Amino acid sequence: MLKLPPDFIFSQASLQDFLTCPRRFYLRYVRHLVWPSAGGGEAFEWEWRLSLAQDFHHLAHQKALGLPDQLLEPLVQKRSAELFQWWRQLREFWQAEQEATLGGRRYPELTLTAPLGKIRLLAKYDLLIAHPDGQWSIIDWKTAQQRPSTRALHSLVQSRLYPYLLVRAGASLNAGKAVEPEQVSMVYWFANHPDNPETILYSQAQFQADEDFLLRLTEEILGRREADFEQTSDERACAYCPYRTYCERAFVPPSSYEVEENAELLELSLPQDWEQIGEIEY
Amino acid sequence: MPALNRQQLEVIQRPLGERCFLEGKAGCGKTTAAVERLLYLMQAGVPAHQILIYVPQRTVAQPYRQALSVPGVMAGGAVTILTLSGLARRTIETFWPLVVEQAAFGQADEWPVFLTLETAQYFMAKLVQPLLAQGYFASVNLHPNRLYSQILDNLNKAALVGFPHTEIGERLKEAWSGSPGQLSIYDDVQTCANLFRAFCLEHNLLDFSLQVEIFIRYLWPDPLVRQHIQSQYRHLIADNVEEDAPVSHDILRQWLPQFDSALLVYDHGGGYRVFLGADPSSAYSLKQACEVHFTFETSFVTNAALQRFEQSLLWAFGAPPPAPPPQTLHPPIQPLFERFYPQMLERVAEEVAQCIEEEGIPPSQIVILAPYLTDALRFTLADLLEKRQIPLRSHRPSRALREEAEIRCLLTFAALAYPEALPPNTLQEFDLIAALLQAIDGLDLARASLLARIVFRKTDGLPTLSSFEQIQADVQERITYRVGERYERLRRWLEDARSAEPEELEIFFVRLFDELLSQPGYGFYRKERCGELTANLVESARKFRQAFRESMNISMEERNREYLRMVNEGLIAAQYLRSWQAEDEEAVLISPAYTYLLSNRPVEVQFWLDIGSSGWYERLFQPLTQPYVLSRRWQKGQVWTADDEAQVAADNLRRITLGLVARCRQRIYLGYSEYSAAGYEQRGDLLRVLQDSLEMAVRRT
Ligand code: SF4
Repeated sequence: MLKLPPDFIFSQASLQDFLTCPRRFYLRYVRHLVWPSAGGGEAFEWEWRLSLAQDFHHLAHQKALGLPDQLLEPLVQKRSAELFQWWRQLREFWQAEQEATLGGRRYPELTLTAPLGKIRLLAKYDLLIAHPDGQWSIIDWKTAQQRPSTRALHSLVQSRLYPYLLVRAGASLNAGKAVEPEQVSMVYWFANHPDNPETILYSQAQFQADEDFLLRLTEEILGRREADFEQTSDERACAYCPYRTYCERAFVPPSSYEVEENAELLELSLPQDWEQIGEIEY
Repeated sequence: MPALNRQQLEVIQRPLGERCFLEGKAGCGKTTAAVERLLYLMQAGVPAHQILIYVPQRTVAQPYRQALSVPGVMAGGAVTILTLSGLARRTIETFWPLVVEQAAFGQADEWPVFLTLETAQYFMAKLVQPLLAQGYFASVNLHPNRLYSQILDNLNKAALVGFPHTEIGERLKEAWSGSPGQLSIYDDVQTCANLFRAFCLEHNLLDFSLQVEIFIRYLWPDPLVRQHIQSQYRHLIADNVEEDAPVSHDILRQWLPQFDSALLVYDHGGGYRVFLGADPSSAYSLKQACEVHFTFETSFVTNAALQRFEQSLLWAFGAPPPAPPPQTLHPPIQPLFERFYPQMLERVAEEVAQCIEEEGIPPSQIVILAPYLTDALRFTLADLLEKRQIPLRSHRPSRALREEAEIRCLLTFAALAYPEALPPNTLQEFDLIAALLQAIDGLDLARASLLARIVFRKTDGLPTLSSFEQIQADVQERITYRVGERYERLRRWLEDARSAEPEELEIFFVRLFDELLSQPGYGFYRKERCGELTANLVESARKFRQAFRESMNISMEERNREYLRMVNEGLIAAQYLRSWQAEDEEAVLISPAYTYLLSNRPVEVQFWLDIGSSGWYERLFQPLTQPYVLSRRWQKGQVWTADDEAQVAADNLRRITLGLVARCRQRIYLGYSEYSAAGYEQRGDLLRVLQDSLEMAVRRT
């Protein structure tokens, strides 16, 4: 059976890694292989985008904690025009949704975890809202330049894991009362497309399907032997994978259509830090 | 659930609303009880996100992390695990806008940059080097890198103990009783500390000391911040409080009344991190802030014979003699005494093999301890154990990347691609020989030397490489055409890099690795270790780049030069230890004794090497700092004397021997050679104490 570190907890990043490329999962989480990742101009572009995305999540957190806008604004303005633009969109969203999407008790940057079969699962939420009417919203900030299609968003592990874990572990935030699937919705909010968020409503049937999916997926991972973690056959996933040279895969730049359609999935093939936005430990 | 005794259960099941202080020596099940208390709280309905585990360093939290990751733990939020530095950094990041002006940072509209130890050392070096040229520290015989780190250390002490950094020099001077020449050194220390702090403030750079100070002085007292932190965490478990610094204790003291429950765990005989500000007596004063007290006395770790040995050790340290044991207990101490050091190491390797092969002790249950862990010792032991097919891992966090041959190879090529980066004549022929040996597959020393002798040129002291084609045909043949072809490709690659627009060093290293060294025919091909080392160097160069801000007005070329120079001087590029590396499973561990003690992990068998050495208990030579004088316990006006020094050594000896025994289950081997590795006779106090206590133990049985 697979040997993971004793304190390993499955997150959306590791599960998505496995789905994108089992080999990558193996190299990153089992072998812990650190590899010099591809250089070139794009590396700085990714790093810059990563740091802006981190800054934006950070700002949203600060705003949720009640830090005054006028203290935050000069720092944002100086940092970058793009970040400032996102910030303005966020402020507007905040203003407009104060009582609706954002109305209720707020839990910014909260982590929930639950056992499933032989493993534990973990999700770190950008913002969780317990609405006064008993409904729950999961808000996830996205800074990708392209807005992924609804289909691409629904296919993300995150879209299954986050609502699932809220139902499984939400009682701890709800005075011991279980959170029902029908009470949960997940909102992807796009800083570059603020008028076009994606809302996913949860249901009992979906909860059951997600549980089966997550159980099967994690059991499959645990049941594999080293040699069974095959490389993906879709070489586009290798484009920005840190192990591209290790796997001796050629650089196949994704076409602009693919970038548009799979922006989110492509982001998930970025270096580990990128995927860990919101899962950064101290 | 582990088997728990009545006392442990009592601690675990205490009602909410209480603050408990749990003390006892190592191995008595305190952490086990605290971990179970955590699980008990969660079972009792306490939301996990309201629980804070507070530890002096992250490794101490491993038992908690492990307990929380098992599937059996109920669903809910995540328990937070923090150190003082984590709490400070997290709070500064979140509430930075509240302090940027108040603390007089120079760039009011910029985010902070958190310095790593190496980038802090770099900026310190940058500020201090011009002063060295002016005669500062002239009378100190110390490598500049140690000089920089000791000044930083002083700043850290000031922050952790809680006194203004401007008092460092004065405090050191006041306690000094030696030659008056040293006093001006302390003035130099103060000047450099002030300069560094002013520079950090001007550019929003936060080294460890400034992080702690900003948190303590500005953020913790701020009502918004305090409210946020205190409402977030309602339950506290603080483990190994004796290894934490006084300001950490101050925070806990103020915070304790606000918690709905708290458990503080204190280890008797601890305080190993004194160099990092640990203050057991300040920690012990927290007992008064707790209404319920527990003391655990029975060891779960040591067997009866080792407990007996512990008593005779205590006697050797001045306690009354222990009562004779009810049955004959031979001390489980095995001397490995040899005349010379290499023989002693050979014996150690033999005994390790015997433990594993004949007694079935897993390698992970064996630890080899030494007062210092030198490269020579590590390599010799690794070699001796490898011959016996025994894996070895080491705890030695600060190893400069430059010490790795593969890294030196990358640096040599960087110096050839950017010849102006290093001072003239820095690069020598032997550097090129070593680099070629690493880089080109199938090259032996004789050919590498021959090739290097011919192609390595210097123009005005700056290195260049000439072409293989210019070499005489018979010599080409000796070197071989295959090697020649590989060399030529490498040379042209470097030539291209040299004539192209300069690029960030991290990109240069990745390209060199990617396009050349990891290709078939080159030395890094399909070698994971080479990949990892290159990745470490790339990461170090990246962190270095990220520490610079626009306000410093430094060009990329200049920054690259600085980086290469600093790595070359061994100042930066410490090995990057990733969290998982620290826990390499099934291997024998070799570690300096203090590092092992801090990891708090009992084992079946310990080997103590070099018990004749005084390095087990003597203070390191640190002419620019003094952890005891800069501690909170030190009285103003007191003078540090030889008696104080002797007392510290005696305390260290006691603490370390008893601490190690408490972390051993079965047996201790004592490695001693009449002559040390350097050929000196050794008769330190540890040897004496061990002899006395062993004699006593044998007499009493
Ligand atoms: S490079 Fe491609 S095949 Fe290799 S781990 Fe990455 S995604 Fe998988």
